[in-house]
Amino acid sequence: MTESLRTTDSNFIMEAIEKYSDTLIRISYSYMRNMSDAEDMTQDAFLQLIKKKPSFENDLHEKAWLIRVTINLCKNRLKTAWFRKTLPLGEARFDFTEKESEVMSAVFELPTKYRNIIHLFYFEEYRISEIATILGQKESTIGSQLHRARKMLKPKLKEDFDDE
Amino acid sequence: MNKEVYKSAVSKIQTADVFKAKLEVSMKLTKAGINTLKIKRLVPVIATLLIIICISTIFLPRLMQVSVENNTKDEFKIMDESSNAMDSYASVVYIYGYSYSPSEWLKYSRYDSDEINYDAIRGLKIGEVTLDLKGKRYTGTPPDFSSTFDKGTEIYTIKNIKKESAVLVVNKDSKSIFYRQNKVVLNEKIPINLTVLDVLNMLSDTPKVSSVELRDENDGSWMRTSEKERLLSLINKELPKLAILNSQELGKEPYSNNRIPINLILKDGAALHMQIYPETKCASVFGGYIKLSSELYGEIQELFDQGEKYPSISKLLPYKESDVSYLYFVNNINGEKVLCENPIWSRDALFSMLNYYRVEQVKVNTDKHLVMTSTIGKSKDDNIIVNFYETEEKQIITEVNGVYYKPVKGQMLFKELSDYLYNSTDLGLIQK
Repeated sequence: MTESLRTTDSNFIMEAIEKYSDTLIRISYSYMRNMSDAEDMTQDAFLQLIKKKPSFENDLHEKAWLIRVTINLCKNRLKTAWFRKTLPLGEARFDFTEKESEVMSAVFELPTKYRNIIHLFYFEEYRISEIATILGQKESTIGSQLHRARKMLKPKLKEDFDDE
Repeated sequence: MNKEVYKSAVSKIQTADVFKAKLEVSMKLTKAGINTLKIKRLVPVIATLLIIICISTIFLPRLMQVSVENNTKDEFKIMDESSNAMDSYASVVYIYGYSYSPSEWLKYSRYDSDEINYDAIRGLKIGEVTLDLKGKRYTGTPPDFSSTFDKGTEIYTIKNIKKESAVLVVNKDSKSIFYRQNKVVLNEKIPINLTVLDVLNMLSDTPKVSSVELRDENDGSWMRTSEKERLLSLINKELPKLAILNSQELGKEPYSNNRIPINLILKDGAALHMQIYPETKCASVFGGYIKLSSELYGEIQELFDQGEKYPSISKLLPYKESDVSYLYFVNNINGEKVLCENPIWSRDALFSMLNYYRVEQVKVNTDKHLVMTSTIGKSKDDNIIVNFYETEEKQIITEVNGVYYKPVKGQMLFKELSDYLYNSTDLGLIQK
């Protein structure tokens, strides 16, 4: 309900862009693997925010909603027949170190669902229960998928992804 | 190491300044576009309405009445089908103009067990789902017997429970109790037009609050039940007459960072969930808000301050959750053993299970058998052994340092433990 007040504020979308555009670009990039489509998906997610004007309980809720919308948009885009361009990681313009490239390549070779969970868990630092809520899946499913993702990464990276 | 490298790499993926600028301009234009469109659309609508009103006022007074009725109807319409229609994914059934859904907040309020004999409580069939809203985007209020369940899902009454309080939803995969949660209104600006008494009367034929449950705001688990006279007297005196307001009628922002979730338990066992917002002394209930008196709020705050009456299982351990980095389990039913190689994520799931149940000490019962042994701690040498036993009543008893504990409220089942082992430890992977 915070949001019903906020959504009447003409600046709310600008605030949202400022706060969440990096998050959404990263999520989209994780799915689409190229910046051009990641930017498209991010823009579409903010359009949804304007159109739907949902009521959010707080900023965390708003962020989770945007992440979920972005993921759904990415999934839809990936499903479309005309979507064929998937640029290899090397063509991106990020200044990754050799080790960073190695880790990113390994993560990007994972199936989409695992990639996505790795991102939400390790980068966004969501708990398993929170990821389950965002993705609308059972906690146990997310836990298993995270576990499998780590197991798949281990031989590629020659050590555990998370060595805590 | 890899985790840190990954974080560092992802941090380099940022919104380009040029894109951000484009995005801001595009959003401003979109917003302006939407507003312009609305105004443009209004012109012919207003003109048409004026013509209709003129004609009907002069020639057809009855027609006017009908047309006004139609214009105020909140017509239901399915817009499209899309995986983006996330609003329609919540488990909900619309019946009699109200929405019903399962509620974690009410778990163990009426049934203190997960082993519900659904066939024994099933009453009469009152209908079945005629419209499946799963994955559909729609406007207006959904019609009765629409749902996010498949068409044909059957809805039954529950014996000895008013259908206005809860119903049984039965499809080929599951049977679940759905509780009436709120009146279906098109949006939050439309008046709810109910008092708390109206709601209490819906839920029960004995609409008097006889106890109050304090729930944990993190996981909805039960913390304590109060039958304090002063609290109950204020609740029964003040709440029934209060109107349930929408956010506009409330006139202020009700939400604050903290909330106090409680359940009002009525004499026949029906329960009404409420969440109190301390900063504003407002409470959300049945899809709207009520304002509490300072006196009543003070009593609820006192209940909250008392916190849990019994410790959760996790509190019996000598380690804080964040200190636990060694986990070893033995499933004594089939002999499977698992040492968690990466215990952090296994620990999260374990603690969310152990945090849920508040337990009390019980005397040793000989009719029990050991189902799981867990070693929980910081390392192979610094840990504690926690044993889980199953009783004849299918209740899990926890043993820590030779002392036995059982849940005060609710039922911990072996299935929960075995699901944990397969879904949240390396055991699931080994099985694969």
